[in-house]
Amino acid sequence: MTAGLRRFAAPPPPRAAPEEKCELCGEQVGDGHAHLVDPQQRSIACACRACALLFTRPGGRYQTVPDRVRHDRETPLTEAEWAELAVPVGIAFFFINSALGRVVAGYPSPAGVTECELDLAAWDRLAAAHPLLGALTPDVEAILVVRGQPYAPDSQSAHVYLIPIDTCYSLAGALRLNWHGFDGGTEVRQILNDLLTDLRKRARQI
Amino acid sequence: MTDLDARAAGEQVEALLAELRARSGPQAADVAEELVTCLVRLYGAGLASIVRIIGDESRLMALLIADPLVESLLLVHDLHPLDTASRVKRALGRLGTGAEFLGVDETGVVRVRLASGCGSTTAVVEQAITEAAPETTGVRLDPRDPPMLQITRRPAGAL
Repeated sequence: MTAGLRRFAAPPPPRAAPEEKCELCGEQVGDGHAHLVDPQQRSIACACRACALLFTRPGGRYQTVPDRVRHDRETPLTEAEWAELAVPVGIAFFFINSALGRVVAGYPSPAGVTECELDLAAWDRLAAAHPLLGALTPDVEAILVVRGQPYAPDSQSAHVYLIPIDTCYSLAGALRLNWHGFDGGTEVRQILNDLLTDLRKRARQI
Repeated sequence: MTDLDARAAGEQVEALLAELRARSGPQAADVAEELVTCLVRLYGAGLASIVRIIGDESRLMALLIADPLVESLLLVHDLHPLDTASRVKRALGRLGTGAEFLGVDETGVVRVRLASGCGSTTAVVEQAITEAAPETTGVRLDPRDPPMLQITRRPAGAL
């Protein structure tokens, strides 16, 4: 009976777009769905609204990523303060990893996110001077810094925002997919520009 | 798998897919299905080109379908040079049970009338047909003609 292989010889049915599902309960989720962070596993999971509401308090295995965006117009990051962090690139995000008890810096790049552990003393000094940095919720929020040519040519100082950590990872993914050449190319600049425009609209003063 | 043929390969592929589905879930199995489809279709397209290149060289084509493996692969891809009726007739002829090919109806069911023979021939005939013409959808066996009643003169003296 050759029926076995015949079913593979027919043109395959068009592949249905993969449905995004809540990774806790299997409910279908839409585009703007929430995410949960598992700080021990360092993993991030898609969640429906109901499941996301279950994990808004800290202390459990999962924690829902909040959706607030904050900035601080009054005390921008100076060049000298930035230099003190010794971050070698123009796009970076910082978050508190509660499992390690440290601040971790992530640099999006064509190879994915490069991570390095930061000089905590320098971070603490900076956080003392900047309420925005002090407001960071461990594991689920990050400080995004975009500075210098060619990523933020319109601005004298760096763009600094407190953002949901899932936004950092989606940015990192988009940059990785679209990176061309030495500095990322026009697509990468466009992606960053769109993100910064969106953040500017959503941001509230800390 | 030393003796490769389309039937054994098909069965093994199904078993492996079932194993993958049980172990790694439907998503992984769906990807694997697509992968198998991709490869089978690639080789199918190659076979189609070969058949087209051979074209009317009937001697060459006869050599090809004389090889059971090649023939089974041509059947997988609907590339067999003989049409359905010819293949069914040929298969029934090889069986030698005297089954008669009546035709293929519009739904793809093969109609056959069995001649005489023991009960097991039903299954044997069905298998022979699905192997020779996998594109058909089923086999319908028409009832054989009732055996004629022999009428004889009653022996003299009997009641």
